[in-house]
Amino acid sequence: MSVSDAVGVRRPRFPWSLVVPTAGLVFFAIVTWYPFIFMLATSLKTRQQFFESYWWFTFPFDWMNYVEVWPRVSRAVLNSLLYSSLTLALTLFMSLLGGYAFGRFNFRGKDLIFLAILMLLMVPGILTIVPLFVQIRQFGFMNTWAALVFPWTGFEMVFGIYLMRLFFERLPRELFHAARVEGASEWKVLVFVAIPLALPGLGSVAIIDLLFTWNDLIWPIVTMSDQSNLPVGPTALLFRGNENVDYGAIFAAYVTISAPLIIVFSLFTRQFLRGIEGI
Amino acid sequence: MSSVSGSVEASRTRTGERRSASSYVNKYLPWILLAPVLVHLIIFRYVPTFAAFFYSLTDWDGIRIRRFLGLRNFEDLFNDYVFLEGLKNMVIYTSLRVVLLITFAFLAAEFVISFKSATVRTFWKIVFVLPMVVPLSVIYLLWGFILAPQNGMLNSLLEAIGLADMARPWLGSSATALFSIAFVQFPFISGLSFIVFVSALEGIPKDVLDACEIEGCGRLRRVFEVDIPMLRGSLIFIAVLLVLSGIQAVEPQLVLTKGGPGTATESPGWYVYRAAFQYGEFGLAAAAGVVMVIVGLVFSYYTVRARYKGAYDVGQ
Repeated sequence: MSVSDAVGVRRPRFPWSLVVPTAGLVFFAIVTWYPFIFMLATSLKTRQQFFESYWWFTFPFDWMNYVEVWPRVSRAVLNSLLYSSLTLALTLFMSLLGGYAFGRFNFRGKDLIFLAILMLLMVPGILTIVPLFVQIRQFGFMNTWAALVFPWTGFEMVFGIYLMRLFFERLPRELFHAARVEGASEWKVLVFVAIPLALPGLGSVAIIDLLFTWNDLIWPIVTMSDQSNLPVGPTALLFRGNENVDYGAIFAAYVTISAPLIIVFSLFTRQFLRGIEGI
Repeated sequence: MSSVSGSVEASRTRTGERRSASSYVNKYLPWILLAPVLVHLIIFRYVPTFAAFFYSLTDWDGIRIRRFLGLRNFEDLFNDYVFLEGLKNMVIYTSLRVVLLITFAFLAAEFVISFKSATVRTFWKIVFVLPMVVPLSVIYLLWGFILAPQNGMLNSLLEAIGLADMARPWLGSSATALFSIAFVQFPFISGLSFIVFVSALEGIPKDVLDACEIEGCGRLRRVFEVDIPMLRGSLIFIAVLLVLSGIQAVEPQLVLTKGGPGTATESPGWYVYRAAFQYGEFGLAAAAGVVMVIVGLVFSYYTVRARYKGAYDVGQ
């Protein structure tokens, strides 16, 4: 007979408040993750293995699928890395400039200009896709990195400027003041005070930007008629199944396409989480 | 003096005013910083935006304007059976997505904050946030495979548990296609909404929860009487985002259904895409885009207004 029973303490109630959430989250996690696990498992199967065991990994792993799709997919991964990093650099630069100008200075017409920039958030991509397409064609950007990088930056910097303005406004003014009193020029203040302080804010902007450029589908399809210039998103569409296809190869392509960003974000999980929560 | 621009604190200290090179820089510095931003936005955002409205009034093949049509494009749109079906599907699809995504993300967020330990919470956040980085096209293709008639995961599952007669070509029959694309990404948790809700729930002030506890409210009562009213701002924010993305949806059509079977999954976004890039009707496509913007503005206006109607916003 245990002590608590002897003293007549109530038996602890069944911990519904922990069991229900755990069960719910485990169920959600399985449903969320299983398709990706299935994708990974299938990418390591031969045709025969696929029909022998449908639901789970089979051994030995068959790496030939990756060897087979790598030449077709690697080009797309490189393209995406190029387009996304150029867009990222330009977006961060513009967001920093705009956010700093609005966050630290007062000038005539400030509110009006800021409002005009924010209005762009209400203008959806589907409205401008047609005129922008024609404009990009007139510039001669079709099938080049410029067709993606400049319009993407135009979209992403609006939210970036908004976020960076809030970020700079929250920094104590004394920081900048002190540097000015010490005799630093405004440019030095920008480079040596503002930019280092802005890094966490820029991190949030970078995450949104990367997710957007890596995911965008319709704009690259419209502007890149040459398949070898496509980024990863649309390239995945070139691998699709009907009844008699080699599922292993298709799923190997999907895994390869998803891998770079998963690796990047797995390495920086904490920062990624903080950046997303900072939005 | 107040009209002199420059940094806020610098203008305060510069009462003695000497016209040096540095104060000259100060005055124009914000404009120098903003110049590249504004030039870029004008070229790649403002010009196309205004152009879209202008071109919607013309017969335009993308190279030259053949005729000025006035509102004829809009008349044509609303006489086009396909476009009207698209609008109808858009309303169904968007409403389904808003309700499903918010319900599941909110439920998962409530589950996560049931745990006191920060480590456990972080673990679950990472579990659901990490799949966000898988490219959207891969997710849609995977769902295409899940819903496929042959070898598809859903049908195979139904067979495995003895419900083989429920198996069907989910995307290939008009009865199920629209609901199937609305169910893509089930259980809808890997996304911005989940993490926004968790952050908001964690931000509810401690004393509000204490007061709730003293009143003796249980877990369910807390959800309905504290959490949902306190999260009103976040819920509206996410609802607006979801409404706008639902209205613009074109990826499900592009990857999965091509608008079919028949017109079962037509959408205005898909209509714009085809009008411009398959039929070369750029003016008509611009007009369809304008209709979508107006619909989006009206919807988001009413969604945001719902926030202020009879709301007692606490700390939002």
